[in-house]
Amino acid sequence: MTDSTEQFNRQVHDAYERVEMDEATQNRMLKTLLAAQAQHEGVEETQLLPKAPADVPATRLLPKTPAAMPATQVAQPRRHAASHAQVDAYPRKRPAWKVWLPLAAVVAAALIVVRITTSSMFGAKTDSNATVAQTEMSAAAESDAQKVSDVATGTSTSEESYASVAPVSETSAEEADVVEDGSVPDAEVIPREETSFGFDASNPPAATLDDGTSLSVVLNGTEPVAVDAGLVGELVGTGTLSSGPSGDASYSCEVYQIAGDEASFALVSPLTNGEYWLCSQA
Amino acid sequence: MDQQCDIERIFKTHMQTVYRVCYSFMGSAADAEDATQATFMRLIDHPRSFESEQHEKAWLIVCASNLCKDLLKSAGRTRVTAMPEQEPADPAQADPIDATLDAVLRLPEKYKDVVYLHYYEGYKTDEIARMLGENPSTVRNRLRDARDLLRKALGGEAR
Repeated sequence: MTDSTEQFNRQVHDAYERVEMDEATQNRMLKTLLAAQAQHEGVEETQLLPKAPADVPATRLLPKTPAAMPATQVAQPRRHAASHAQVDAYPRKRPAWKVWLPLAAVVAAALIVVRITTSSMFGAKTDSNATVAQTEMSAAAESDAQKVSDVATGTSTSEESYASVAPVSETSAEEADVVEDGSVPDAEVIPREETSFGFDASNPPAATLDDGTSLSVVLNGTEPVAVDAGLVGELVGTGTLSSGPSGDASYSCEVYQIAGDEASFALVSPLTNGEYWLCSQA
Repeated sequence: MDQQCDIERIFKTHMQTVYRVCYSFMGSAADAEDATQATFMRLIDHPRSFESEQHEKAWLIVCASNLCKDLLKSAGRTRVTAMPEQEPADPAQADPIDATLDAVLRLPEKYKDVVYLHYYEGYKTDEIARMLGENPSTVRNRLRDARDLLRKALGGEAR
């Protein structure tokens, strides 16, 4: 260590050395601390202020770093003190990772729980929807004969309102043929113009679902397709199907997403005798 | 009764050390006294046993240092240099030790504890790093920066 460095060190050391609390302040502070400790322990104040033991040398009360020693000897190793201080020092600020890591773990666990819960809920819902769709489709298929019979004889109460709606006059002979050919389970043939939407290429239907979605459809064909439970997938909505340029003919319908083909869906109406129109969204 | 004697013994043994630490942070005698008392009050509120006198001292120094930093942070205080209150007209006639203390008191807060521990208490940088929970290189950098600031403030006299 150079002389200038030693001198600098000594200078700083001496600057601190001059800072001392005067004796009056010391005594007053000690009194306060002892009173506080007594209060802390519930001891009466009259028992405080014990005299300093007479046998303790005064030099032990205020140990000072020897000022007469050269600067090089002032810097003495304090290894033991440092190791103890590190063990039991004033509580330090917790490292950031000890604060954020548990918090992140809690948040991650919560997200995982929510994800599992929602996926199970949606999975069940999807399954239930598919089940409902299949059930409804099979129920529709099973009751086709009865419905046709009821509509034809006018005995059905639910379908009467549909039967009373003026059917679209435009009907292709081909469609009528298909109806007559056997997509109607029942032997009785229902004229296409009374049961079909009367769709054709010049009158593309438009569907308005109950949730307000408008669905412009493009018929994949002019012939209805028999209900195939394996083909028809999830029920995506119910609504009203209208035909004609002015949409003057409207029928309630169910819209099913074709399984495996997101661009195609089936429009099913009770009037189609269980048949559905295979459509694509425009 | 033993604990009562302990606080008295600890106070009388380390009071000046704690006071110097507090004074270096607070810059005034009154504030330093308050901080000193608060440091010992913490020991009373949270009594603990120490393995040695050096352990006591180190704990009190770190406690006082952290307490002063909290006080300065919370109060948004304006640092006041207490000594000397009136600078002499001729700087050349100023007591170099007073000027040195003034320069020490004007140091930024982050340098004060390392400067005290190194220059007055004589701790090595590794020991200071362990006490304060800092990286040794951080302590060395701070000491180096503090030295540069002090030398600039003292006009290079200490070189």
